[in-house]
Amino acid sequence: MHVSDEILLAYLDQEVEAAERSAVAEHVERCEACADRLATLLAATGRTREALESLDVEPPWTNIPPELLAAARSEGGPDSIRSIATAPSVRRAHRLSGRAMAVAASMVLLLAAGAWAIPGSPVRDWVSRSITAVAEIFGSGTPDPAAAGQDQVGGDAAGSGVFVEPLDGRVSIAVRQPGTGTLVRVSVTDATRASVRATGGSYRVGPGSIEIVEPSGEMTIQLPGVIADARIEIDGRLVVHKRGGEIFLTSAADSSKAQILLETGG
Amino acid sequence: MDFEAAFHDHNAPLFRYVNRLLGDADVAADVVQESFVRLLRHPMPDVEVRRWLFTVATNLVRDHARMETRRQRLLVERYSPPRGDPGPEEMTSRAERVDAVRGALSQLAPRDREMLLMRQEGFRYAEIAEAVGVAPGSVGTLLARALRRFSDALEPAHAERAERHVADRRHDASDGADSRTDISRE
Repeated sequence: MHVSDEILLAYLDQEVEAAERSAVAEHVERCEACADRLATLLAATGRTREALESLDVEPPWTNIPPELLAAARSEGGPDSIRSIATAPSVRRAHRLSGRAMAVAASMVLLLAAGAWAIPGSPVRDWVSRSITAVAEIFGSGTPDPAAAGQDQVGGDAAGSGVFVEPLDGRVSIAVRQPGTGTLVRVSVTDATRASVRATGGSYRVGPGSIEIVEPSGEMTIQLPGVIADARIEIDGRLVVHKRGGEIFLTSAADSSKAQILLETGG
Repeated sequence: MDFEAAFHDHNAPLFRYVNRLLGDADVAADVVQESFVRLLRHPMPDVEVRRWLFTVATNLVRDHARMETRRQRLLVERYSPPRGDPGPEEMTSRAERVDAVRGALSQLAPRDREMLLMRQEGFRYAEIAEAVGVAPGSVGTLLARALRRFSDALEPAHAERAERHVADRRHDASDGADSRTDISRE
């Protein structure tokens, strides 16, 4: 009598009861055919392990991602991070301390910003909604409610900048079609409003959002340190995300014709 | 449940498992992160976390496969055994090896693939049965078949040699005085 492959494999995997284990061991001792098959299964297991290891790559995180950590520690649970968890663009983050965010410009991280859109992404949908909700326009730092719903040349914002009040503790800034080599400086300040200074292009301001179209040269974006959530997107891809006391560049900021300088206190 | 400890303990093996299943590290990262998001919503005793995470990730991979039929087709085409000249100057040996392993995995049924990979992660048969939805008593049979198919697909030349070797052994044994009855359930 021979032992079946499934029993031999279970024997290898220590999945057989003690009594049966002894019986299998004794049988294999005196049966060359079963000993051969056991050796074959053992070799196949080794080849399988080696083969599968060739597929392995390093996981994207060695530590818990900031958005997951924040959710785990928040009272609200994970509902608020769902779009982040499922968005393919947000995986690699550079965590900065909350204190560091209050002071501008001492440590500089330079990464290229992704400038290609993700059709159908939740981020893109969100941008579309925020642009549709345009309600006000501010030019040269002076609110002009009468101009609501219209575009305005952004060059005028090079001085005091374009401002937006947070909406429900959130601010979003969308940059569209930046010129090649556009430099986007991002910092966090003690101000209560977000501001954007840009050269060239046009902009629109809506509730809690600013859209800058076709900027060139250098842009300066300042985010209020006190708000819970701020996002900067370039052509529909989330490139900078401030969440609570943390701010990070996403993997979408890896390659683009634009560059992002994330300036924070050290 | 200590969520941060759970992430620390299970992130790397879960990512390895999902990446091996999918062959796409980006999608695997999304699946893993989504699995941990769901874990946040379903606190449980620490001892149950590992099996639960792998079960959720397995289901997410299945959902992904259903929703991405076109992508799946492209993957199968990509990882089919090479026909003709593989163009060695364009492929590194590592890439060839990865393609060969992917090709071998693609020849397994999705459920067999999941079971084989969960075995590699050290799961007990009962846990594998629960995660992939098969009867516990069938795990050994299904695993033995999956292991044999994968190994044969991976190294067909080796499989031929092994078959010849076993046949020779059996031939030698049949020349002997004792006759044996094969009770293998295979």
